[in-house]
Amino acid sequence: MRARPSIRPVRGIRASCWPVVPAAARLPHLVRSPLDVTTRLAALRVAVIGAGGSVGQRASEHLARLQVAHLLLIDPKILKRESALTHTTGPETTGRASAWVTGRRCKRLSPATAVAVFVGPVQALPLDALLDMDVVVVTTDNPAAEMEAGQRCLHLGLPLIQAALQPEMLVVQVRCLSGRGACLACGFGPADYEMMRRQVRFSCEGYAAAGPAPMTVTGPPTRSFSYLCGLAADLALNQLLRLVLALGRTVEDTVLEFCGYTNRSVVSSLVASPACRCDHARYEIVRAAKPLAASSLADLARTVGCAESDSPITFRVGEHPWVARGACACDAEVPVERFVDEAAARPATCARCQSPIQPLPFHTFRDVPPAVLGAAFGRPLRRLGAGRARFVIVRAGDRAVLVRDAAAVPPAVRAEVQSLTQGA
Amino acid sequence: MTTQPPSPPFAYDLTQLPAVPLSPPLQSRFDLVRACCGGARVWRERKLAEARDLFALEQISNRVQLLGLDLSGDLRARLTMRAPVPCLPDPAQPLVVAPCALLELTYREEALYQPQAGFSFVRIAAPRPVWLPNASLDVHQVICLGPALPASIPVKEILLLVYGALCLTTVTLDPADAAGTLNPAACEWWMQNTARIPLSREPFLLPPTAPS
Repeated sequence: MRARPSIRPVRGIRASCWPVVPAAARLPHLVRSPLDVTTRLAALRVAVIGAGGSVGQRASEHLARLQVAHLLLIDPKILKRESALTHTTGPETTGRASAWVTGRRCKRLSPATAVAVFVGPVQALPLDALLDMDVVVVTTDNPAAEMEAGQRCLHLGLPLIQAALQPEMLVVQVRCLSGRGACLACGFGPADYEMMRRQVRFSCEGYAAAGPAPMTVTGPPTRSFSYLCGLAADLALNQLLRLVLALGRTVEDTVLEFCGYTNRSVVSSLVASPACRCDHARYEIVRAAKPLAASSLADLARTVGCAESDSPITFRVGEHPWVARGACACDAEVPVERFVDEAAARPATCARCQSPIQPLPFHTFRDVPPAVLGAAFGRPLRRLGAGRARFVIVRAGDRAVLVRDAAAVPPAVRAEVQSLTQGA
Repeated sequence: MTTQPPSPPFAYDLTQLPAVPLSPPLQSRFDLVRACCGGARVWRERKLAEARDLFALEQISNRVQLLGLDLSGDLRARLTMRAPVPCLPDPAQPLVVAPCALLELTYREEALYQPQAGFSFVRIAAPRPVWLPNASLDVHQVICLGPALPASIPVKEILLLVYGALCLTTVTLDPADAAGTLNPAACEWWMQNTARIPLSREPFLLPPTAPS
């Protein structure tokens, strides 16, 4: 099994630099704005997907200047020499993880903001990482990440702002999705799917993994003007402010398009497509009454009212797939029948040959039905290898309930707490 | 006396699987599977369409036999495929060609909307050890069908690709090629035995056998 990237806090700066000038010192008195603008901004938690890119870097820095409460910066990429042509950072950052570079700049701009960084693709981000966010900003240039981000936001009912460029036409697009209607893939056509197929690559080493094979996106390099990337970030932040402060007419489920050739902008509505391939189900989010480790899946099904459902039930236990059978060196197949932490090294070793038992993908279930669990359905999760699970998704037909652990702190917030502790 | 024109060998081809009327036993098996189909609406509908195609394929292909099908989460099918399967238990001994393969197919929900790795769908559970350039020589024995398969690829196309890989009608013999070589030793072996490629030229759809 492979190790997953994790969310890590950006450490605070020296106490001599603390505190910086409060954001309120330069906030304009907005027309028809709510009275508590400063408070609202200071409480805002934003995740930026593609935070190390030419648009994401600027958007993140804008947010840091607003001194928001929390920034979660997600990007798998490494900065190249050419990045200096479009990014706000210079050539001295070449070879560094772009999310970390952005994270450090944001932390310098706003030491009070809890900045956490995830160097990896959004597909590898733990599902509960976005749970306590208020808004998600997407600035990637690959359809696979956009699709994943859009779907997660729909599941969690989170608003999403996407900034995109068509540099050949000097066009900037900013989509603002409410989290209740369209997703980013609703507008995808065959050309988008074909582009996605051409862009992704998989390592052959991933075939023994219990989960989906890790993908690498190898798209063409960004060809744009620095100012156009800046314009996209600026417009995205304007839409974000309008959304969170309810300024002017609603921007929910709209796309704003600015064309540099004509200097005209157009706003259109976005509607969910019935032909969209993505799952648009919104999760009901509840807290478990007792720790998940002490609960059985049968308990959880009863608690959320799915036990008597006519539709087949499945359970997704955090990042722990259920491994029914595995294989070791001495035998083709051996029973495992445990939840296995995807980030763990090996589930177990064979008592006979002492070699690690590798989960067999065909017998590994991320969404596991009670029939596969057998007697384990009634046992507490801690006895099944999932004592550290932070959430469980119970699914029955179109209904999906995300049950959070009674005491679990989501990874992003945990990183924030670590950051504050280290700063102190 | 007028001569009748030759009737087409098959009433249906692979593009017409949804139109194949299932025989009563297959229909009842399909109904059983349908009752246990879980997940979101889009995913349920797709799994049912794929499941029906699989039963139709079993009925008309004379090559595929479905042993088990689970639609509760991911689509999981255990099936046998009549195809020559090269095995080399001992490198010093001649190649053994088994008459059929036991396949385990997993089609994840992500495959609906994102491209998937070529090795993420099918595992050859038996026979062992399969001696193919694009089948891994380990406990998994996964078969790689290309560097990346497009989003929403139909299951019947995956099975066609598997058939092509087993018969070596589609084969990558360059060990340095990243597009699907999982067993470099088998690559070398088949490069020295190209006269044996392909193992079969039979079409995927076999004519029905006369009842004995």
